[in-house]
Amino acid sequence: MADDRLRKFVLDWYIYIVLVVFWIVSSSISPFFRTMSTFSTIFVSAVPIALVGLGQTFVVLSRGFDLSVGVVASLATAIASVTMHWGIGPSIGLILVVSCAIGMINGLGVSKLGIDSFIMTLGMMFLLTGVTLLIRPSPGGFIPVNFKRFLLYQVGEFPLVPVLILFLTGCVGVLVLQKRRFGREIYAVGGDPESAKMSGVDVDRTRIKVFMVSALSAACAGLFVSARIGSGNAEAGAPYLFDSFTAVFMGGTLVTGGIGGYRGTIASALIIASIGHILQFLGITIWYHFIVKGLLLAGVAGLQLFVVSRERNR
Amino acid sequence: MNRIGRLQLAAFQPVILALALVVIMAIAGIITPGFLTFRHFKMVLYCNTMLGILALAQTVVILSGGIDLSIGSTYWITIMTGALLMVDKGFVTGSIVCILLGAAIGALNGIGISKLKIPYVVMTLAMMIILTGTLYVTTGGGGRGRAATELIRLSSGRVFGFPIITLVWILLTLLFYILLRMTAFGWKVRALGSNISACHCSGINISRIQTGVYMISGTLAAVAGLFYLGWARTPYPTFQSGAGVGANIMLQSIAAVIIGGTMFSGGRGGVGRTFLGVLVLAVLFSILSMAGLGVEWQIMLNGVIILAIVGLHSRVKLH
Amino acid sequence: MQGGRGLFVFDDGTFFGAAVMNRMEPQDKAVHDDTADMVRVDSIRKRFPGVDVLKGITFGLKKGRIYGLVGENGAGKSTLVKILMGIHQPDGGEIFIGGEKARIKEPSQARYTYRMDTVFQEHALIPQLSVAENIFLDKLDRFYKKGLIDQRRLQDEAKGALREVGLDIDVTLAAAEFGEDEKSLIELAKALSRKPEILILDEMTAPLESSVVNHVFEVMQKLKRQGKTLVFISHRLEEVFKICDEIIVLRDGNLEGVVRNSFQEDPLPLRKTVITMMTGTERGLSFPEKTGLKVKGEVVLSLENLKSKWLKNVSLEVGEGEIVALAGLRGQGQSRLLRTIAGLLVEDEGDVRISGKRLKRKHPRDAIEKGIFYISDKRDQEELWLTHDVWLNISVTSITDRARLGFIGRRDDRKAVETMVSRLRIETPSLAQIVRNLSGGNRQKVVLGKYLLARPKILLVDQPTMGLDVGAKAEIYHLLRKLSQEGIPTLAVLTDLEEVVNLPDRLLVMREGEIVKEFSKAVMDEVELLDSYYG
Repeated sequence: MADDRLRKFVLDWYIYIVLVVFWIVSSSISPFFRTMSTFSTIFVSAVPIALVGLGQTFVVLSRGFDLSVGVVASLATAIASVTMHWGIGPSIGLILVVSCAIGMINGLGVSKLGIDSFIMTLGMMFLLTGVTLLIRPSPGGFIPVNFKRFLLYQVGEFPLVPVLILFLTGCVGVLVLQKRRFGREIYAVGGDPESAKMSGVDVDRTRIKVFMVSALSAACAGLFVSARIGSGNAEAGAPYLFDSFTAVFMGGTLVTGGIGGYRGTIASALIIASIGHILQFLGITIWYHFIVKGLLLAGVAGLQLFVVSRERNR
Repeated sequence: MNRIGRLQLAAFQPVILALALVVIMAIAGIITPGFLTFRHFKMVLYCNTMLGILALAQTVVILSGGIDLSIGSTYWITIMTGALLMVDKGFVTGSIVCILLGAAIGALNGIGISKLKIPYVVMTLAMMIILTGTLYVTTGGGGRGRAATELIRLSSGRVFGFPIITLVWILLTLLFYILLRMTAFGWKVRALGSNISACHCSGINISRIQTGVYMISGTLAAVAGLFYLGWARTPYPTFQSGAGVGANIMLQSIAAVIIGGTMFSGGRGGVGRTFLGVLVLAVLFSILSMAGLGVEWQIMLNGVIILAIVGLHSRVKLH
Repeated sequence: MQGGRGLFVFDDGTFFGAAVMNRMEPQDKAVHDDTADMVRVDSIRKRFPGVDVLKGITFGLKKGRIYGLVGENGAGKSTLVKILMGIHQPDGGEIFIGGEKARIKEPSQARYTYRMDTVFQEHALIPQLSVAENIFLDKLDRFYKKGLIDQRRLQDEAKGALREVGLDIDVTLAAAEFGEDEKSLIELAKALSRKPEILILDEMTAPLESSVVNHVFEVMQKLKRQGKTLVFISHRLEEVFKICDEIIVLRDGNLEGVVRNSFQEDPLPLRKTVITMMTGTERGLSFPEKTGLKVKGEVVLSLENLKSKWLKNVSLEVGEGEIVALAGLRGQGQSRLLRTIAGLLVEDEGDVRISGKRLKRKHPRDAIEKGIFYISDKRDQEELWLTHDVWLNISVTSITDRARLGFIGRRDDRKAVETMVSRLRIETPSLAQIVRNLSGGNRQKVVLGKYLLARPKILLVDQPTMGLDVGAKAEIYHLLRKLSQEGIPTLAVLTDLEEVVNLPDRLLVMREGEIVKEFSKAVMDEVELLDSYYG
């Protein structure tokens, strides 16, 4: 019995074990890593990844892919950079409305038109990339200082607001998926969409909601990034597309949907954010982190499948 | 979802596409004189040869039920490796190494997917990330190395006035057309894309086919890379910070396949359709740039076409 | 009750046909009758591409009765049920529930507006979600406490729902952990939890054992006493005769007639009547002679002490002229045995020999190379390429055999496939017909064609006639028999008692992963057989 509980614990929390081990190993290798300032930067870098990861987790769980998250984030920075001089509130409002609309269109295409989510969001991605470039052909624009200061507010070395955002996102993500009807319906739709439909789940509505969540969270990520870089940039969101998938898959959500959750995603976000730093401190050029990220993704995903198939055969 | 209807519509897609192409070209020809000349057409094909070869590769992979997200980075790593090698080792060695490299990357993809059971999305994505990193690390930004003179001559050479590399593309398309329709391998690829469990139960060697498919993809990417190198002479890869090198052309290759009408599941479609798809994209881009519209518009158009095509394929569910 | 064809039957099996029966006008029924129809179906028509599935069905169901709905495959039963549940829309006709015209657009409407629910044979449970969550999947927000799902309450109510059907399981476990029989009961509990007025059981008892079926019948009786309307659909006529007050017979999309059941001791006359109505002729299934009894032939397959996680110690032999059946209650290891021999389930020890030579199977290919062909019962998922045409489906498995240097000579190949198609009498307009558009029976024939083209040495078939109608079944039986006469034996998992008794030369009854009894008789006694299932 204790053996089973241990096994279950490891399966659920393995990514946190990886994270902690990673931090411990990094800290012992490099004195620079051990500083508060490093961890502070890690947390701050992790916020946008965690945010796009939230939306992507929902989408992948429902058996889909959202390729438009990167460009939605970029679009958010672009819109922010040209509208924030009217006022932070209206600007944010506009961004949220636009991203809701984008999500809804994605969701409608996937559910009502039956378009494969990969293709639908691919098309949307192309479309929005063009739009973003039209709004913001080169980096620039205006992001109010208050906005920056608020989102990056630190107490001493500790990045209070970013960590708060991480915490809140984590709570929302995990609780909605585990304890709200919407969340359970996502698992149903991803696990067996035909059965879900037969059992009375409104599969179409669930899918639409899922893509709306994805676009919204990507927009929030974009807002945070705009605060960080202090401007709008059509390429700002691009890295987050692949990072979102990396975070989702590393975090234990299966690409086939129906299994996984946000708990792992958020830890993966922290790992991804940490990788760049440790390599920097080791004197390795920042580009190596690509390789490490790639290997990590393949390795963890493979391990995950191996374990899942072992579990299934018990 | 009336899938029966979908399959039947898909059968007609090449016809519709060809018609659309003719119409577009006719309109363009009226608006811009010189558009409908054979010379212009050759140039359009020439500029898109690389995309054409990559889309061809992607077609085979998609027919088998997978996708190669790493095709763009394989393409670029070949270009950079070729440039560096050819300075010292010359054309022959450089080319051979590059092609072997492409095949090797494909083999790694194939092994990861078939033996290690890593989902193809994850595997090729990871490969793309790894290759991007390797590229950055080893070359730090391009501008190094140079294509061998033979390669430069090849990329700009012509046979009876027709660019050689474009001919190669067309020949490769024909070759794969035959491969996919007249060999056991080809049909097994399509069966794989339709129902992998049935293949397993029927004793088809899934590992071999998957590995083969991705090796084809990697090798073709390498060929396309060499052609590009010959054209660009010294490469300056477009680093899309963090999105991965070659992401753009990878996505375009997928777009061309979709536009051509090969479906993601079901193992139906083919290289002829993709060829049409590339043509449509090429002509449209050509029109756009002649109209003076920048890259953004091309990218947007990509998206609009994709959405339009798939939208047409679907049947609206009314409630 | 009236039928479209004009057959009106009395309970002891005598019947007379009438040339024309006047249809009773709806208002006649509604006004005076205090036992008005709870459900009324009027001239329902449904057409699918190329085939008229329902050609104008009219009948009424009253409260407090159990109706049986029988008919061959393709008669229209499933379609009718799906129309009632809002999964399909009728092309013509009306539905009245409780006297009011009903427009049912989707299952939730059927369930919550009209209080009508169906338990299908194909369960709709989400494998990864817990049983409790599955039962209340569309009403999870009912369990909100402070905005989050109250697991305790959810589990308690789930347990309560399951108690109604006599199931006591851990509701926190994922639905995937349970067997087909438990899943069936969970689905029943799911339907009952919504307190339906009208309950339809569509082939739900198929995976269940008789003791469990009896319990389900008790539940049905209880509901009947409460005044609910029940419809019971089953291929197992014994069950239908046991519990149904009236039996509605469909044939070819028409209402053939309705038979009242007076629950006689001897069900035979009733059975004969119903079968006649179902098939239009007086015949049961026709089975070929058991020629393998006398001429066993050389041993083709032999297993010695085969052990694995699911098999205890299996030894058997199959001779080249035989049809051998694995019988017994469901889930006792029959399918697993076949899959182990075929190389789909690995990790076993023991000897498997094909024509005397030992064979190690790590992959289905190892078995197939030696001519051991396994045909799965999950045809659509594991045997067919639905998006491709008949040609590919039949040809691809053995395509390398006919290829020269990897190239296929299309003409030779097509000829080979065409020959197979005509040999098996596969009904298809052409070789280019997409398999998805073929009926179940023809799909099964395509699967057989696929393997026959590959020249098997022995066929391992899991439920060869599942879901097929009487005509198709007969063809399969004769085909298997002919193959055995040509030296290609069959080792089959059979579940239909009539098949088990009449088709194979030898029967191996399995229980809990081992063979407990062997029968080899020309005439098999059903009682003795069933007895051996339980031990």
